[in-house]
Amino acid sequence: MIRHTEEKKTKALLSGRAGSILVAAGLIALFAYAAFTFLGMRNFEAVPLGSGVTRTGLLSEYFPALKGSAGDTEVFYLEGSEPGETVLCLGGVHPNEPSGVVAATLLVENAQVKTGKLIVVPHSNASAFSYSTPGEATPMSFTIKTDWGEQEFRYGSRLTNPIHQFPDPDVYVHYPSGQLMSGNETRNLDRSFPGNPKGGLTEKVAYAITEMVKKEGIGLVIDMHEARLMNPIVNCIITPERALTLSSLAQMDLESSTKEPWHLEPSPTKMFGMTHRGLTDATDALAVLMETGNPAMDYPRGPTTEKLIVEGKDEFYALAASRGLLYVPYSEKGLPLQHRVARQLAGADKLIRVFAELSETGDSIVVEGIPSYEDVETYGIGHFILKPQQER
Amino acid sequence: MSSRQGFYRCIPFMALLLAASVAWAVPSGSAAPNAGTPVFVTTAGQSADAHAVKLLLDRSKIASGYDAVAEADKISGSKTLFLVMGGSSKGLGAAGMNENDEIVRVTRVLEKAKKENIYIVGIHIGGESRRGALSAKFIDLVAPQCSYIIVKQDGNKDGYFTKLGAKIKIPVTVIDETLDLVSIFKTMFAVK
Repeated sequence: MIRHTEEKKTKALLSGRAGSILVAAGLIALFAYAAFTFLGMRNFEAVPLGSGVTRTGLLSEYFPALKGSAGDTEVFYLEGSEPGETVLCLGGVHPNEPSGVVAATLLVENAQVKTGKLIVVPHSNASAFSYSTPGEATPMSFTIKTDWGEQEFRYGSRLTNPIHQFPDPDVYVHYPSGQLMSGNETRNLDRSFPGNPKGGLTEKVAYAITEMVKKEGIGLVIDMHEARLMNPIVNCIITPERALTLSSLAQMDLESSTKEPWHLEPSPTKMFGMTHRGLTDATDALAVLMETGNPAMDYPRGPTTEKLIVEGKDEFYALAASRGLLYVPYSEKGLPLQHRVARQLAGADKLIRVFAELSETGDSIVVEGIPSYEDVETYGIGHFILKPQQER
Repeated sequence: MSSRQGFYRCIPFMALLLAASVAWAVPSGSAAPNAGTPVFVTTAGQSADAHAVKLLLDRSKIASGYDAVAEADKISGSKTLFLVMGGSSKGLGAAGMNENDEIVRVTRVLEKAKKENIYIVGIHIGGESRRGALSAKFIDLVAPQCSYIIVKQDGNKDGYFTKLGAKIKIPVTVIDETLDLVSIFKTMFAVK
């Protein structure tokens, strides 16, 4: 009887152990898959070089301490045959705002510079592309159908990866203003300008970009962002006082040519860290920031899926729009990425043209080949995406 | 031909179209806009739209002064005051003031304009994004005090300005886009 009971106990123990082993194995497999997927985010898509690209480089060339770090990122130069003004376009300062990333990529792949120089940084905060926002259940990438197949784009986070910059302070003290912000803003590239060579990774990236603006003699910086639909600062150009004439002329022309709402937002003089403020104060450049409305960013939304990012349709936004709660026009067509990228490219094109018109010579920078608003809306983003030839 | 040259060439045609739209928008029985120069432009809410209005006055060769944070004394001697309505939290921050400071400033400017019999024109070109709670404070303050209102159509989807115009019997012109202001200004100030 005793022996029989012990056998039962042994069997139960063994069966329990087998179960535990199975569970452990399952968990290990799950963790391995998650780790593999997570680490895979560190390798994001290479940008195919358009025929207008004359050379590529790294951001660390302007601040060598960044070399080899997760903050280093690729810089694309499109130079004309005639010297002139230099314009910098930034995408991916916030990698969860994809219209700027895709628009910057399309500039690299399509723009042709006749006079002057266009510099493009599509993944400005490279570290923040290496993970998705914890707790937000956002997809890690989204896919655009092209004329030759599909192109995947990384969908990252607003802030630098905490693996690369840890821990956050209780209070972030912006350098050099001393302005206090919440601790996690220490990893927000758009709160770090003009940067600090002795600061955290994010401040170092900002410092490298500021150095680039100074060393390249950049006259105009266009930073492409997206915003929440319930935020009044959307569909706009945020402009410092020095760029008010440029931005006003561009805004009126854009409103007329696209038949879309565009408005201006002044850059607060006492709110530090953002590109439009930090670069304007620290350099001779005019730095402006454009915002389109991203349905994957505000909270009255359903699941955050690739479809939402690309098609921009959500029944809850439709309801919110019907109650007048949104600051952007929102119809049954939603706010597709195609439309948002069309706006970014139209805005960049117009700002560059007006910037050239306002210059003493009137043709200080001439950029052709930027996909037009009408063409992007008609043919889609994919029509303008080049097929990657090889891994670089 | 540059796009800007093209724009200038379109001005006569746009002027004709917009003169027609002004005439259409003026409620029957009320006088057509009657404004003189010099014009002074300031904001009501610190949006950057006032600067765009100033640029278009310059383009139209209409003498004007501009100060986003003008105090009442600065409008003395003006014949017409353009108050460009629209609240901007970033703009208030840029001007180093809060909404209450701005309400007090605009109230003083309005009082001065009334006292000196300056023709007050309210302009709203910020569209839907300048019809939120912050903007409403400035619109409610300024619009009922105006002798004439110009509003871009996407800022008047609810008919607020046109209904107000009918109620207080002032002309209201609804425009499609900001650039339409050029023709309105030329009509208002009889500039060729």
